[in-house]
Amino acid sequence: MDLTIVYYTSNHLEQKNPYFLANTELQLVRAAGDLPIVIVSQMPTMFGSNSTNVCLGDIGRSHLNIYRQILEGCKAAKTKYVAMAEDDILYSYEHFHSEDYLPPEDTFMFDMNKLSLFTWTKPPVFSFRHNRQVVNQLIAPRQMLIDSLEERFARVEELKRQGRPEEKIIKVWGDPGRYETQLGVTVRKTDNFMCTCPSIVFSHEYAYGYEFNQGKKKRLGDLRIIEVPYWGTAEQVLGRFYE
Amino acid sequence: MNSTVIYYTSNREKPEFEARIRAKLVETIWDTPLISVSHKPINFGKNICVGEHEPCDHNLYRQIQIGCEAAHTPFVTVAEADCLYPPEYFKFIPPKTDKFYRYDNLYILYKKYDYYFQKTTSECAIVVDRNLYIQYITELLKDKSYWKEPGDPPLRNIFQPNSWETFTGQYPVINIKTGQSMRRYTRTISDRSDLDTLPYWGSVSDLKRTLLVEDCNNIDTCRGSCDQTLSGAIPTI
Repeated sequence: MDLTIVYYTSNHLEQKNPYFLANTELQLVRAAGDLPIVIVSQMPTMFGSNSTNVCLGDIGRSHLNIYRQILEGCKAAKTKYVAMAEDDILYSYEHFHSEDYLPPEDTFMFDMNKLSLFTWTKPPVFSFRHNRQVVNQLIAPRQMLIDSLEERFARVEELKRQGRPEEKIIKVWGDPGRYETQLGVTVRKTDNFMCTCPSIVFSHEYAYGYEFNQGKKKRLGDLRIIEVPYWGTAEQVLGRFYE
Repeated sequence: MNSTVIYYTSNREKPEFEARIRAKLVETIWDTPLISVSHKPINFGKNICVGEHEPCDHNLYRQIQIGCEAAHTPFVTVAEADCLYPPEYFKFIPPKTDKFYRYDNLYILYKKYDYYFQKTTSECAIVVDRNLYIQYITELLKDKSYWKEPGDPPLRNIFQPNSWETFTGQYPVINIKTGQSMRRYTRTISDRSDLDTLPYWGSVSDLKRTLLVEDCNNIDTCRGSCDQTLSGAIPTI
């Protein structure tokens, strides 16, 4: 596979829930197999046997910094394709290892088989929301993603020079392939796939989206699931979050 | 003399740590002119105490500007309060007067990690024409308050890509991140080949014991070699 995993983290979990972080890192190493991982972090961070760490220092947690970290990771990678990975998601081996999931050179590909697990729901349950492309499930041609992000950051600077505040600009900075017309950048193709094994996306109190966005108001997805193959029950999987 | 060492500090590091850094610097630069620009008075070269200000890029560049203006040599060589420099760093004279020269053999030592992390270049290791640095800082801080005030916008990057070149040496500069400095973490790129020993400076563990030992009773003259540190652990070439 000509693919590098770009793992980006603000290292916030290192302080808040190191137990959970150790579990997601361990799972990522399993899922990566022999694939290289570029770890883009704000503190020196290293795990896995085929990894490179790009530490960006104290740049802080923000919506745009997530994409700055992704851009740096893509630049450090050397493969034709990159797959995104976040620090609060359990990825499967299958997600990163099927040639069928690699997109054409002009397309962003999203894995739609992702289950949310809210850490506060009792009893614990997985939920599924359809039709939502999220950057943490993206597999992309590396150069396409670099070009796209560089164009977006240049556009942000241009809008700032025109007097638009950053808070308003980021409202139209969506996941790759999303809101591109509104931002005023090149519209790029997207496509979806459904991996045979779902990614488990934790919603938890230390997540950036929780703290700065919806918190516990976030709604469960349309489908509720108690147990899935490979991962087990929602309660079992939640054991990777709560020690 | 062609160059003056400009040492600038906000005095936020532990006094015993900064004292060891300064002792090593004196040992390294010999008779090179030295100007220190500090927030608190220190007995170190020609000292210019600017009073206490928020540690930030704006105020840091103002300190450098003050140091450069007080110097009389054609070039300046910067030195920070949390960095160790090898002698060769101070021997470099820029071939051109219209460029900054950044030392590219640079590592970061974090208090909490047992490895040296490689960094490309940093403003902590620069040799430059004195007037050029003054000119750049004057332009950078133009229309801004003398010392940073609340609400001041963040500064743009002073070092545009075509404004600088690199120079190198056999032995690295080490920037020590104690957790007290303006930036706790900085940009590094590393893989599994991270080093636990560097030429000239030795192992991470020895250097930490030498520089970061606490409760030294002899701050004024401490060179990291008293009974409370490893004997002779500050290396000499």
